[in-house]
Amino acid sequence: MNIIEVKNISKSFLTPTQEIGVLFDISFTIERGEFVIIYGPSGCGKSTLLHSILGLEKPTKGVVKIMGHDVWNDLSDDERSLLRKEYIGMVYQQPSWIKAVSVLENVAFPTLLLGKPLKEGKILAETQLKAVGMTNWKDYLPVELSSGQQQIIALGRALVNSPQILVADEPTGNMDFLSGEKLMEHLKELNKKGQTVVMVTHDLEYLTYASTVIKMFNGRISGIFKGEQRDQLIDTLKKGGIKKILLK
Amino acid sequence: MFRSIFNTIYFFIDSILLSFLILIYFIITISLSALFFFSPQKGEKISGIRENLLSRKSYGTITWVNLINLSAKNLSSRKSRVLVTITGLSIAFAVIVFLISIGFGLQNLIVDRISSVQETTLIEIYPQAGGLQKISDESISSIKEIKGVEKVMPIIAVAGKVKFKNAEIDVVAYGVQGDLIKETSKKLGKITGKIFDNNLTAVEPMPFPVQEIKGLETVTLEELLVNPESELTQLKINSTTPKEAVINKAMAAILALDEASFETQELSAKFVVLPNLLEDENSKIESLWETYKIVGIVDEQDNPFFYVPFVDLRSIGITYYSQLKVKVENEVAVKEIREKIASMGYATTSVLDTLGEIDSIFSIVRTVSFIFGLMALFVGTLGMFNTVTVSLLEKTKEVGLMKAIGMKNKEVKRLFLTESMIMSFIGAIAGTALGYFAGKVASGLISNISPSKEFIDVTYINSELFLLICIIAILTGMTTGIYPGRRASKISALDALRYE
Ligand SMILES: Nc1ncnc2c1ncn2[C@@H]1O[C@H](COP(=O)(O)OP(=O)(O)OP(=O)(O)O)[C@@H](O)[C@H]1O
Ligand SMILES: [Mg+2]
Repeated sequence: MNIIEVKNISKSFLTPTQEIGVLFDISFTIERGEFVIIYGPSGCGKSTLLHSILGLEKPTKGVVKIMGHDVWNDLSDDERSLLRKEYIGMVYQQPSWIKAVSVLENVAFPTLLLGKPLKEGKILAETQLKAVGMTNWKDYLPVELSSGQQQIIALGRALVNSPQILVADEPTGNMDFLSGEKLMEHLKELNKKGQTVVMVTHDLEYLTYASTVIKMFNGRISGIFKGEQRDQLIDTLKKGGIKKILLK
Repeated sequence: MFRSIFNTIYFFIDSILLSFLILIYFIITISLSALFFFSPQKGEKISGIRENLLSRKSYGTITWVNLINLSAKNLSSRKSRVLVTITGLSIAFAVIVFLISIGFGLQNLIVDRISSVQETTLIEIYPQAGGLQKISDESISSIKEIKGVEKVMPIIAVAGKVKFKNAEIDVVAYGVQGDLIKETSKKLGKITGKIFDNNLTAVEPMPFPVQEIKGLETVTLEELLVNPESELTQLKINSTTPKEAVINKAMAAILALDEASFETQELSAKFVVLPNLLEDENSKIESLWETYKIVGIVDEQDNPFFYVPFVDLRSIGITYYSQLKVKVENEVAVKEIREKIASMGYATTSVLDTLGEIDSIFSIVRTVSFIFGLMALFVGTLGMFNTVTVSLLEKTKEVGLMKAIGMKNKEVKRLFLTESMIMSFIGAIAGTALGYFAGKVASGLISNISPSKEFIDVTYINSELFLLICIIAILTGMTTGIYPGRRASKISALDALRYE
């Protein structure tokens, strides 16, 4: 079964003077265990698309299904909340935190929302921090970390409830090349163990990690690369045909 | 409409439940930290209990303990501002507790003083002004029949002339039963010696006057008593009771009586009866000199007077009595019995009248204090409202984040409600303590000024005041938490995800 199903969604924003279309008739499906990278230039609507999938931004038209649930037509606000905390781990483009509590407790927070006791949550959070190599920073306040470090622990927070789907919006945005690679390797490991990953980037370097590449341009999907097509795309990329891909 | 009523009721129940949980949380937390301090291992074990106790095992909802925990951490991350807010609030609570406890305290003090000298179950009965309804034997028997009346004790007040050693003085003499002295002993104070135990009210043999002797004595109380138109009748006290008198300290002082050896002393007395006690208001009666043994001295020392057995005065021809004291079974019965007696045409008084007046004065005092307290509270609440609202504005992104991760609107509301509840509770507890100690300090100052120098506590905290404080604390927490909570729940999760 498809874990995510997006059917003909469009999204436009009403500004005081005009209606701006951001997403136009977008459809795709994602299967369990896929590593999907949504790729496209700044402002093409990638984050908006993710928010629609997550039940945060209601699309103007179309249907989003997560694990069979019609997110926008069948679920109430609370049920969408439940869906997010139960099934989805999210790394936001802009890291944000509960400023009053430590890194460890921030990472543990999603477990608390599921009703777990703090003790159990902290143990789960420690495991995640260990996995991303941030154990030493657990008692820091999140704002005391560098922005790259914040993105790393944001990944820990996204994974703490062992979600069915990991959604990451530019998780390497503020990182140097090496740290970015390390994070991608971590995602790859997770994906190997069966973790479904949906990731947004405008960095072509990382396309090699994807099993499926969704290319977006100006609010539309301009290409979905799976299997052979994906391999071809990577090949072109490796041969240095970056310009070609960009303009295609 | 129906829905909104339901929601309001739900909100109230939820808030009250929440406040109890917060209290439990803090009680456990404080005792835990004490335990940790003394024995870390035990503390570790018991901290699990707190979690289990407050964990509502409903999947997908944050547990109470974690919610309160989070609120507490949010508050402590803004220590100085929260502290200022709580201080403002606690001053308001302190004002309420201080003023009201002093209001109650002063009232209690006064009431205690009054009821320590006067029996609250005694009703005093006087003849109606103008002499329309006089007190006679029939009055006594009809009042005795009223349900709840235990005793009816008549008093005859006459002018007494007393000769003791070489002195001769004029004092008031009361003809009373021994019982009356006992029943009013609070007012009379300590009794040295004894009381005569004669309780007779009727004289035998009847009728009287039995013996009339005219012209044996010159009248000396003319200016007071003697109506020139009527003849003065002089009568011998005609009773067989032992001639015993109880005097008060003021009289003892005038007689220069040695209190240590009064029991062997005797005095001579004669009584001049006021015409309003007589059947024929135009007649004048005066007794012959009689010798009384002084058997007791009562502490009362306002005005000099002495008691002689009721029958002694009765026997010189008195038909109407000056006063009745009615003892009733309990304070509750006083009102109804007084009304019945008043309907018979007598004037009545009771110390409860005074107590009632004091109560109504102090209830005004309390109300005014409470209004002052409420004004202070209003200011404190505004401060708190401000703090919570500002913190909401600062936390827009944080709230958005929590909602993006999956926090429900209801939980967001509760989070803010909990924050204001915690502040309100701490303010209430600190304020109550502050008000209490301020009251004690005020008591100390007042005691210092008082001549006796003993510690007089002018404060009094009863359970009602305590309950009032609890209710105000919950209401304050609720009213200041409801609006920010509601606003917070309307914050969009996307606010957390946008660039700034
Ligand atoms: N609330 C909004 N109101 C109006 N326009 C919006 C709103 N949110 C997003 N947009 C517009 O939608 C477009 C797409 O935004 P989005 O954040 O999805 O881009 P993106 O592909 O994620 O870009 P980036 O790679 O820079 O993160 C932008 O032009 C933006 O101005
Ligand atoms: Mg984006």
